[in-house]
Amino acid sequence: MQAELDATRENVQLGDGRRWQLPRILRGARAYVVLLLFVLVFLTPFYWMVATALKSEVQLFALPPAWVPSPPIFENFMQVFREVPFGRFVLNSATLVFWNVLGQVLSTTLIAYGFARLRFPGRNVLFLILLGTLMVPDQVTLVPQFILFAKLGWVNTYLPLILPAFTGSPFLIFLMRQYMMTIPLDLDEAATIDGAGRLQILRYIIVPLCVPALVLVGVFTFTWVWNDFMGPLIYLTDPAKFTVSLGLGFFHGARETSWHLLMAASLMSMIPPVILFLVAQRRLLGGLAAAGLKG
Amino acid sequence: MKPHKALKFATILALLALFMVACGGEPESVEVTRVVTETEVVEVTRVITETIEVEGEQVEVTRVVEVPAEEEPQEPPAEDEVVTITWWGTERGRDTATTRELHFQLARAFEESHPNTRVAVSLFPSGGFGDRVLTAIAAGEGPDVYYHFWATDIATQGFLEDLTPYIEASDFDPQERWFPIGNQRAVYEGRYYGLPRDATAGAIAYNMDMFDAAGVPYPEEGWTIADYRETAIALTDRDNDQYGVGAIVGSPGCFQWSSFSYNMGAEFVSPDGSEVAGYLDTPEAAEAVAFCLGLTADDQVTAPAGMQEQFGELVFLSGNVAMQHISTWELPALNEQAEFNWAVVAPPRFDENTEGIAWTDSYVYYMNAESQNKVRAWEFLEWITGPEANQIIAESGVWTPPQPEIWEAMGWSEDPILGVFWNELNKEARVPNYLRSQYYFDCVGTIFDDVWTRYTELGETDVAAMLAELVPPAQACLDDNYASQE
Repeated sequence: MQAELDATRENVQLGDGRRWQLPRILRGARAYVVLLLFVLVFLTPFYWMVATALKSEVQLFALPPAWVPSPPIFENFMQVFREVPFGRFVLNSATLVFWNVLGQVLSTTLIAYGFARLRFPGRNVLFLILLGTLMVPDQVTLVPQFILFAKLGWVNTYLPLILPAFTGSPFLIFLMRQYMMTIPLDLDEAATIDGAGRLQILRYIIVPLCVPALVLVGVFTFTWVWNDFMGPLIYLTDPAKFTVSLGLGFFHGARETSWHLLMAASLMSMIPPVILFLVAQRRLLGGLAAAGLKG
Repeated sequence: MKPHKALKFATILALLALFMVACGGEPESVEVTRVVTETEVVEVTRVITETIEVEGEQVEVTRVVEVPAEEEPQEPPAEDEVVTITWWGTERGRDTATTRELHFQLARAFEESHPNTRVAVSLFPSGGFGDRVLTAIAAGEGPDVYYHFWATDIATQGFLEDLTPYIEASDFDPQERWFPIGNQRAVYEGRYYGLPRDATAGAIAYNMDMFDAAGVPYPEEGWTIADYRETAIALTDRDNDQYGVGAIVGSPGCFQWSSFSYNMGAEFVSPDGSEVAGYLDTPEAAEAVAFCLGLTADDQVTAPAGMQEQFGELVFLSGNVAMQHISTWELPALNEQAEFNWAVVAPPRFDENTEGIAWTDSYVYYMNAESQNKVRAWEFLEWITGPEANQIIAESGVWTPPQPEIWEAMGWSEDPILGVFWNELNKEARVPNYLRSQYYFDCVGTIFDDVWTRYTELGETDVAAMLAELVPPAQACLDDNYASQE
């Protein structure tokens, strides 16, 4: 009904037979207003986070809530560094991210290539088993995996948090395989005729064409590792090895939470992922679209 | 058949076989002949006699429980052997650096008096700490000593060292050393499975400025629950964002954490945590729950739900809340941040003729039953819960120690604020309902959320009927969990 009414308003029949239409600029403005409303909806939590990071503790509890910090307390950001070794945590997280991204990119590429291009007996069954592991909840494997790493003497080291990345993630392997299967086989055949071996085809043909998907693998890995709370919590004991996500947890207690410091620390911890997104934005969206994962 | 097809077929067959084995029933019985050359029967039982009150009468109940055979005591390390023990704890969400420093200060002080023992301190975020400890213990990598707030019956899981023999061999009396709650939280079926880290109690903090502005007299010790409700109504001015009561949503402030339910004669689960039927479905429990619901839904004297859920007890710091149930755990925040005049008073009792019952609580230190350094770990536990450590803790202000002697030495028993908590800690105390069963939050806690939603949002007002409906499934849940443990 509303749509019909809108159509009538925009297409009024004029006396000389022409149709009167809402000027293009106004039609465009209407779209912008709607989009702006959505932007506001999505930005409000982020704004609230920034505002909370700049409030004093008393302002946090104000009734009605204070939308604008008055005065803004930039000192909260420094306070975070005084309360916990936040810089150390960032460095530790960055170390884990580096090795995990490297591991995932290498292992995922190789494994996905095997599933996408090589013909061998049981390939599909193996792939199904691989996908089946996606259905196993993490809680089920938590203790056995911990026992395994404990027996290897790796608890309180970064090895349990890094080495699994070099064996590939089922989801990322699936993603890469699907992407590789979109690349025409003709290219492989042409390279084979030119004398290229399997690894050369991978290196010189497949990998350059898979860059958007590889960026996606890298970004996903970055985000998972940066935000991972349970892994570092379970495997690390020495506070000097703790990561950003554990550092944030220090401000959230069983009975009390320093919301202003938690938000200040969260804001700072968001900076690397945001920079990454800005840098990798174009390739990331291309990868998402090509992998069929775009929302 | 092509080779790869044969392989695929074989793989599927193997998987099917595995599936059938996994899903198969009990294996058939097989007759086994075994020559027994020697038998040894070890009967390890304990007779527990308790006096309980049934309909006003004291009844003595005796039961026999099986206990695991005593393990051989660990060989103590040579006196000059340097041993490192691990001590795990949690940050508390505020004053992070101070809390961390206190732990290191305690470790250093212990090492000074025990030069052959090193203490490796690890502090973790509070969220997920229980999982961290359990995973490590399951893998044989658990800490020697740690503190947490397990329900008392977690002792049945077997990963806590029974500290009773250590205490018996020591020269202190736990009943004299700690407040009643300190002992109650550490004991399960008469045995000590932990030692108290701290001791806290509940009291009502009130905003004196709001009382003055409204011309309402301050509450006084001995006031009743009816007084509390009247005061809350008198101090509520929703148009000006002023509320008589702060946080009670999600049940913490009223249903479980506070002494309201105790004082209204309600217990939600049995003392051993295994029974909810016969407790939460009684008229007293229904009345207590209805009272809490009424404050929000009928009297509308509580702060907005969102504020309560986010800030909990600290919503009192807004300055717009007249009264808030708090514990000593909130005192540092109030002392540092409150920009108004405030004081505390004992929680209201039911009426003038009944004594109030306190809500008290404590974190507990545990020793890992699989610790390789039990002798040194016990030395540390004994020290950390003793006068020297508790003095350091009291001076740090991070938490309030469980030792009355230290409270008196610090002058807290006479303090206008801490004195109120002192009185509460010396009253009759009970292990809080939510800390009696390890399955409480899975089985019983959900009832409160359900009743809350139905009362405040769906308009159902017959609380007794709702509880009668919700308690049987909760009891079944408890029964299932305890049965699966056997």
